[in-house]
Amino acid sequence: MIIHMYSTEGQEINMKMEKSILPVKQIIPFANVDGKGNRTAIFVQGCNLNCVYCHNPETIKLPCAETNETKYTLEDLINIIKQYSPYIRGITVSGGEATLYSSYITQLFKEVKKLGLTCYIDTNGIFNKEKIQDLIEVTDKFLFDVKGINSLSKVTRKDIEFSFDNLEYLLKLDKVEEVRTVCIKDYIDLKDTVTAISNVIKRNNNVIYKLIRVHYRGLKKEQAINIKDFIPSKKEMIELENLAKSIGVKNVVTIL
Amino acid sequence: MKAKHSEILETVRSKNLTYEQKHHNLANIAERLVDPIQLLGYTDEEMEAVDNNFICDLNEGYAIYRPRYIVPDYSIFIEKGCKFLDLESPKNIDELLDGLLILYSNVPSITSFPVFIGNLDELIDPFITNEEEDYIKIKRFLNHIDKTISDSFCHANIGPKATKAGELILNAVIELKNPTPNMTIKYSKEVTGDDFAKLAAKACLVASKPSFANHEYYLKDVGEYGVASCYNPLPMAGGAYTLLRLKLGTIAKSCKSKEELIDEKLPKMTKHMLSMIDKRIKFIVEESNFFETSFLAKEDFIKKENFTAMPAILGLADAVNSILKVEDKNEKFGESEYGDKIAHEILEAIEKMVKDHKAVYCPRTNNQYLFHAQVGASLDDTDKENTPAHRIRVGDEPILPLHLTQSAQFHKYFPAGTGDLFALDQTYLNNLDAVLDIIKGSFDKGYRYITTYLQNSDLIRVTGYLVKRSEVEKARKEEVVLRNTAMLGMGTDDNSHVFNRRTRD
Repeated sequence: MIIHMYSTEGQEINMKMEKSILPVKQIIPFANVDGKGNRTAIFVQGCNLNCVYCHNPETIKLPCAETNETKYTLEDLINIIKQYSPYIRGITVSGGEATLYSSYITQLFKEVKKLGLTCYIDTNGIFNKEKIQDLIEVTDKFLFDVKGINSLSKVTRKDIEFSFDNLEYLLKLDKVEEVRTVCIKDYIDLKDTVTAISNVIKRNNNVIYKLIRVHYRGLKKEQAINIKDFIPSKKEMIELENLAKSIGVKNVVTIL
Repeated sequence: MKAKHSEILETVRSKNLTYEQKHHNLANIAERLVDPIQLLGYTDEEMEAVDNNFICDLNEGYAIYRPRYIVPDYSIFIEKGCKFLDLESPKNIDELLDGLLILYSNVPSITSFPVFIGNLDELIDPFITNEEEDYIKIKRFLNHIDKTISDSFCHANIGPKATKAGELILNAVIELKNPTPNMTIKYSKEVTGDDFAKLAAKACLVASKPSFANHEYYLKDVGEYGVASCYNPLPMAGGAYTLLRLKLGTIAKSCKSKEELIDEKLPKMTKHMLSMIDKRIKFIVEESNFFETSFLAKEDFIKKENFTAMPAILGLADAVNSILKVEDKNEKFGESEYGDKIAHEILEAIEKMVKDHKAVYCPRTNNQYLFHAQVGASLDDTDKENTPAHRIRVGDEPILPLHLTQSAQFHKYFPAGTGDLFALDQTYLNNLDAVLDIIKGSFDKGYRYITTYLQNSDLIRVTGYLVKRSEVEKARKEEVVLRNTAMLGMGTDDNSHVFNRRTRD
């Protein structure tokens, strides 16, 4: 069966894949950095971007012979989640890019909610919101990664544009828990990005804006050389934090 | 175990004991020089079980002159003061904290130090008048306890209700990072607010305490209780006369089949253990004159009828592994469903005998002794083959959710206390909700008691008590250390590598 996945506005990726199978690179039973509380994090294989600083580069390639992921039926995944369910408040599907598998994850979330758990998506924000309406409806919260607001091709190595529309739409539905920007110099205009995003999210008091200083610990050499000269100083990070706060974001978290 | 005369001079000449530690050890040797067959009426078979390390009496001694664990109701002091110590009932926080410190130095136990120092937040809260000044006083009070009660089995309780005093105590715990006092928060989903619980979880990560007790569960099983020593919930204004433990690992090693263990050896050893407990209690109550001479009893801090006793086990993992081995199963306790089944058979067999036994002098606990899962000790070589309580051997642990569920199924057997502990990584500090989710989930699954700490902290929980890694390193080098628990910690780490429990990330 061919399933249709959507990357940037309307652009379709057609893939040969069983609709009822989710390609999963890794499951972390107890994750405490993927949304509020203790959560099971599921990392899918396949992304529509190819970010220079990606810390899960092995999950970028769309599933193929070499990617070596585990393929789970809905029943498999539910059984695993059931084992963890007493100790978690929900699950977070991350990646890769979770919205690529919107129809599977919509089904998964419907089942997971029956266990009394909340369902989060960690996304890079590049999706066609009309095409993933069902998923948005069953998702409790999004963790929304903003790569930057303009000339994104340098950092994502894909020809795409940031969609304010997607972020504002989810904010209006009160479905955003956290917005995140990995701060890397020169690849993106940090001040422009933080200013624009802060202006969008300042009205939503509960939304956390997480500013993460890019780092290359744990990355391969060939990836690290693209990053190491573009790391903001601590001082620059604090300036960005203060910028966000001065615009009116209540909840800024800086990770150095 | 009986003492030898030579132990006296060995203790006197020791190079790594403080004066106080020598003093305690000499007193303990004296208690163990008396022959229990003559004094208590132990049978030859019972004594043999102790000598063979099937039953361990934790060197409690035979000329017994005080109950093992005493849980005084310190609210009596607030109400009436203390006649024997010539203390009036306290009128302000200074008199309260001073009075408590004075009382502590007059509360005996097996360690000669108090193993329960009260529901501190409840005691202190009505006396809080100035948050800033009172915080300093509370901090000084806790620090005083750490330096004078040089034994980490000393245990304070807080909760279940959030109070200002409770908050100040937790903040002081976080600031001080002392091993003593050990601490428990009585946690109730209904009563304890999330903010207070999260502050406790933070303290638990950075200072390895307080641990979390399932308040409703213990209230149902024990009634009004105080958590004393490692993690033992005991009747308030009472305590436990004595604790004997079955070394399941050692017992199982001597058996050639599961049937031999469950149908023959365990019933025999359990019978011996219960009989020795009866005899010990009779001596304390009928001959030692403890209750006749103690002001605690005269002034109602404790009542004889509130005491119970604790038949206990340890080494369940080793016993199960031993049976799996004789049955040629290539599985280990912790990740073996059949192993869990054997474990239940073992515990059910002992539990039934404990419940059916008519206890002596235990009206408060319905003339029954309360079954307990005992953590380790390092008294001799057989401790290596006896993992604490029903815990999974360090190194065999499955991933955390599966570990919790495996362990939860055994908590129901132990009304007099059990608990498990988990090392978490640093990232949990930024998500205390996640820690609370784990605690709430474990209680929903049947946990009675849970504790956690950061793997990289200096302060570390050995089995139930806390030590500083740095102090243990000193003890290893045979230097003198303040707390005897640092030495126990060294022995236990050598036996079961508890400093290297699997870190959860």
